[in-house]
Amino acid sequence: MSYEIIEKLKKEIADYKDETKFDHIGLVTEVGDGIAKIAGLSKALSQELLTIETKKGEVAAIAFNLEENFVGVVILGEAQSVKVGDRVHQTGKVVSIKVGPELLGRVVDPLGNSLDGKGAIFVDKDKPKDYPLERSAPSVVARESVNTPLHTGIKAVDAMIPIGRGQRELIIGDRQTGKTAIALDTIINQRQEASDKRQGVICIYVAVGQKNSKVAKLVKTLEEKDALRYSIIVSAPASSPASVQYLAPFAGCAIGEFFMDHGQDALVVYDDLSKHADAYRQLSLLLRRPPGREAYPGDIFYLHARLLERAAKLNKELGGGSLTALPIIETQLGDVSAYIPTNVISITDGQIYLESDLFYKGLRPAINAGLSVSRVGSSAQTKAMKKVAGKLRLELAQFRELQAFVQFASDLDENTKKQIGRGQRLTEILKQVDNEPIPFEKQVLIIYMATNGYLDDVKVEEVRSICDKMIDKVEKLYEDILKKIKETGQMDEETEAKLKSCLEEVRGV
Amino acid sequence: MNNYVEAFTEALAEVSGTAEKDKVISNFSKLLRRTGDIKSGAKIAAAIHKKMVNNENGKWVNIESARQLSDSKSRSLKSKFSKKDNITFNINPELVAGVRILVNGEEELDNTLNQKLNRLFR
Repeated sequence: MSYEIIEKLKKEIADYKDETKFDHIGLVTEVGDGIAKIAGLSKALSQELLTIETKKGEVAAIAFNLEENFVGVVILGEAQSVKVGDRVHQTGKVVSIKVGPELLGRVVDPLGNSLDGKGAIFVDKDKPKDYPLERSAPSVVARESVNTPLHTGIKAVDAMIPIGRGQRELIIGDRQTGKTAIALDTIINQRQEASDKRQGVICIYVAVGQKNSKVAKLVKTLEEKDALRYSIIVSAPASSPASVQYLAPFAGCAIGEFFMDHGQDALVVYDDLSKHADAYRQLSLLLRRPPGREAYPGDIFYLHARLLERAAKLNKELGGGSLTALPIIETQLGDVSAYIPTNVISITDGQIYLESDLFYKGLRPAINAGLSVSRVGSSAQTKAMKKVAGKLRLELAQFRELQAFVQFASDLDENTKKQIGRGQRLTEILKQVDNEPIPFEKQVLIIYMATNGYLDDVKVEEVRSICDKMIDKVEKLYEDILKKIKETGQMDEETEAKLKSCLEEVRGV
Repeated sequence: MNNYVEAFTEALAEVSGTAEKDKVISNFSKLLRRTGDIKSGAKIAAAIHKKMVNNENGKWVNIESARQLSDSKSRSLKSKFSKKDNITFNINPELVAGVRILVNGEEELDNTLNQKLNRLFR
């Protein structure tokens, strides 16, 4: 055995060829706070991946600022081990991540290294593809308008702020208002969305500057809900360097693009872009780029615009895949007019606005239906949902106007009282608990019941339980109605007539 | 620092004769003392030297070896370069064996055992 090993080693040594040639190198002249200045490297490319030879081994870095006499780089690894005088080599590659279906169910860092302790991600080294973190967005010709819904499983969103596959919908709100919960529900809901006819959506959750405990909890929830098998988590926790946090959304986007290019539908959640902007501000200030408003650099808008522009619905010739983006922004005391919120609002195709007042009133998800919009999603909404949701929006809007008169209920005329009662019941049915998304056909049924007066006789506080019972009955006795709505996405006259008679039957259970 | 280097080399190029050149040098050192940048005098002098070598189409060459090179080896290495080039020798035991040549601070020919071993095990 040892003889064999020795012979193999001898052969390896004999076959070893090493051509010495001139190489472009640089020397570290300044280092600190995860940033270094390199002399030399006059041939370096922008965003090129560099390797710094340190005493403890090689450390990766990205060329950020190409100046006349030096290159400003951002260190991706252990910045403490980099010393003045260390040699820097070019790799000729821009920053990229290895992607493949093997990533499903895994937790990785923005450079593709496993963080979940489940071992190597790619066993076969030739299999994964290198996807650049920075890539230009699909052109106008490559795109198609949004036409397929992406159901979140949240009644208020699917009915009033519908999201389409390929859309960019911002989730915005103060801290602790349920922003991540909406994204998480959407991911969990994709399990029940997948059917024989329609393939499921691959979900990528990008955690930027989040607590590790939060990420661990999220992974556990996904695992419990059997949602981890089609999800990928890219984590750049608060303890990671700003450079890694800056790269995380781009890594998540690159992974999503891989699935989109293969004709699949992907969803990427950026949680959150406020912290991403903060990380980029830190890097820019350390690199001595001029600060602008709120000390953010001048290209902060471009940073988010180029990231979110990569969300697209590709045309049939390119496989028809899609990449939906759900960026999250955290506001301070509900101030949506701050720099980063206004930027991202203007980039995205709509926003789901969450309010802490509503949250503390017990209206959860705390969606402000008046300020939330979806600019393109309605064209992707299923016909059945469109039919019932139109009435819901109108009645809720009327209720909001009359809400001020609720306390004078006894002095109001019958019609106004009725409208207020209906509004209260509609508000009640839109309440939903975390991690329990509702399939769209059931949502259609619930909203149909509420908008057509089937719940008008029920006490407001009992609406949810009665509604659940009625749905349960319909599911057991008239399964075909729900099945038909799910399969066709429509509610034709025949189905509606059937539904009416069945609801009359189960009314008051 | 670059401004000092540019200004000094241009001022030196504009005059002829040893006396005038000496005057430029003495004025330059006075200027450095006045601005307080005399602390970085060594760095500025090295940068000026480099600039002057480059201006005369010469190269700034640094040869590193693990041990002191013999005279014949040093001569043989020097003969590979032009007379205009500025060649310095350094000893770096980390290289184990062989030489590493750095031209103008960014083009490197690494023929050391250290580098070969690193590449082999990468």
